[in-house]
Amino acid sequence: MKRKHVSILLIIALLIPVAAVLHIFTGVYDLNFDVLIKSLSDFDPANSAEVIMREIRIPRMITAIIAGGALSIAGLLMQTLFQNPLAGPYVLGINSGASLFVAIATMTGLSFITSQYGLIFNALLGAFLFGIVILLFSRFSKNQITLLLTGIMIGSFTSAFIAILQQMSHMQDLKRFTLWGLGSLQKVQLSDTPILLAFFAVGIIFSLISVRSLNILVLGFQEAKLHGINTARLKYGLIGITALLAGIVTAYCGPIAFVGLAVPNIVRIVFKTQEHKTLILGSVICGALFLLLSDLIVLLLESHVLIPINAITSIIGAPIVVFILFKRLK
Amino acid sequence: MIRILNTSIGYETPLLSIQELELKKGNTYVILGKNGAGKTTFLRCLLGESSFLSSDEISIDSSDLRSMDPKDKTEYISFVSSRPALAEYISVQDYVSLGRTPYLNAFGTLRKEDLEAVEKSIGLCGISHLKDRSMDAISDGERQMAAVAKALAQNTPYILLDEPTAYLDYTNKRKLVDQLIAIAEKENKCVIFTSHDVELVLSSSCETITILRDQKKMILNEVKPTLEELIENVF
Repeated sequence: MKRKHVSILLIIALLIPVAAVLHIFTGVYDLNFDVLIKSLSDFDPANSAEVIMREIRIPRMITAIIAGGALSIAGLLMQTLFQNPLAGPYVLGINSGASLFVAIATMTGLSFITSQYGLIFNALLGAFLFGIVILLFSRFSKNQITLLLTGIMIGSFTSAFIAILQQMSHMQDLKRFTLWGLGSLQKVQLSDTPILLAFFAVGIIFSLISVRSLNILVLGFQEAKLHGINTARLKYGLIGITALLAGIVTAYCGPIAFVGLAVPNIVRIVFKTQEHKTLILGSVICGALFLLLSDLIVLLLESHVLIPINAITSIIGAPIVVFILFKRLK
Repeated sequence: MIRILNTSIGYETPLLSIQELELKKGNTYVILGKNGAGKTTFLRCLLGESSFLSSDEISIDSSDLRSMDPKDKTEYISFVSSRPALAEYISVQDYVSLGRTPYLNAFGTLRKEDLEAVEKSIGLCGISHLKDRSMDAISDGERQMAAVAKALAQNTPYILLDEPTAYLDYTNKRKLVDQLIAIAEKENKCVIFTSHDVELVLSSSCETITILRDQKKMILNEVKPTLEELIENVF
């Protein structure tokens, strides 16, 4: 990694604790630093302030960091795999796969898949299967736009299935799924964070050990093959990592749009490089910061109006995507 | 040395046959033939992207090329296409560094010897002044030289180039061919390229390989053919 890139990464990384502190102390209830310390060191379950801090604020802040970082890496991997700056787990239908399988899990009433881990498994399976589907479509599409449209069609297709499931489901299940579908960082409990963290760590490690292949893949599959990369293994490996990262976030937080699409592009523009060690670490850091700040906006507006996180990421992300669309695909 | 004996090349039906062909290090070979004669297919067969229809022998430094592991092949053969693949935000130096891919660890870390190989390749191709420039901000000729530098950084004894002069103006075509010949001699490489720039390559010191139009045979010319002979037998 270049020294200049390390410096920029460190500077952006230092903003995360600042944003995290702001995030943790923002909300309807005023909580101070003492509450934070006590909730971690000498937790009193009878103290409502400490309960809010420990069970709501801290997990939400950790989830924002993990989900932002995970979705951004997933987007970066998709963009490199499909050599398309507008690729991402959301646009290409990978999130739709996770959503469909979560919908099946939530609304069919089959007990073995409606448990907490069953839901995670379903989201991962859906993300992976839909990743494979888009990979198969990509073999027949040489055009960047065709692939994106295919992803959007997959999204519409799954939405239709989900709509049918919604019509047939019980009111309680429907409510649960609808709330999940809005996307939120506040459903994660402190006890869930180790699972999220473990998946996130595995995703980062596998991404980093793919750096050599990702760097040459920027020039296309032919170049990668000619430089000794097993491209078939690489494709499925990248889909696997993306499904792991996007699937786990989708399972816990619902679909969150535009993070995976916008952040890697911002990182490329800031660092002006295709070196993937820089891009992966940049995506983790910038993604975490992006979602922390987006959720901070949600928290700041919370006393006036409840806005789903998805709305904020879309409001910020969509103009960025339009900018990229005009700049790079004109 | 690349040695090819009684070999047939094509897809379902043979495009061309080779009775005997020996391509040695230190030499630059240009393959001449009409469109569709099988020049690119020949290169693709050597790269392992297409299969030979039949063959008695295809060896590279005495190893059988057909049974060679794709990863091992990257230590023997590098390739430059007529239009090098491009990407945004990639400097000439980073682009040339990608030639070191087969030698790097999974994290893609460039060691001291990799950086030295990159520096040397950039120097040999005369593009040191461009190393910090973005690949999409240099001319076609410069980009083609960067692609050659990437192949050199891969440090293979054999370099294949598919119509490297196709998109260049005359000055850059001349410069590229002269530089390829100089690199082959200086670095003891075997450079093989295809071209339609007949007059240019005939006036250079390249060895010529021609694909005879009627017999569909690829032969190494002991004496360089004249333009008239090429028009009569090749094009």
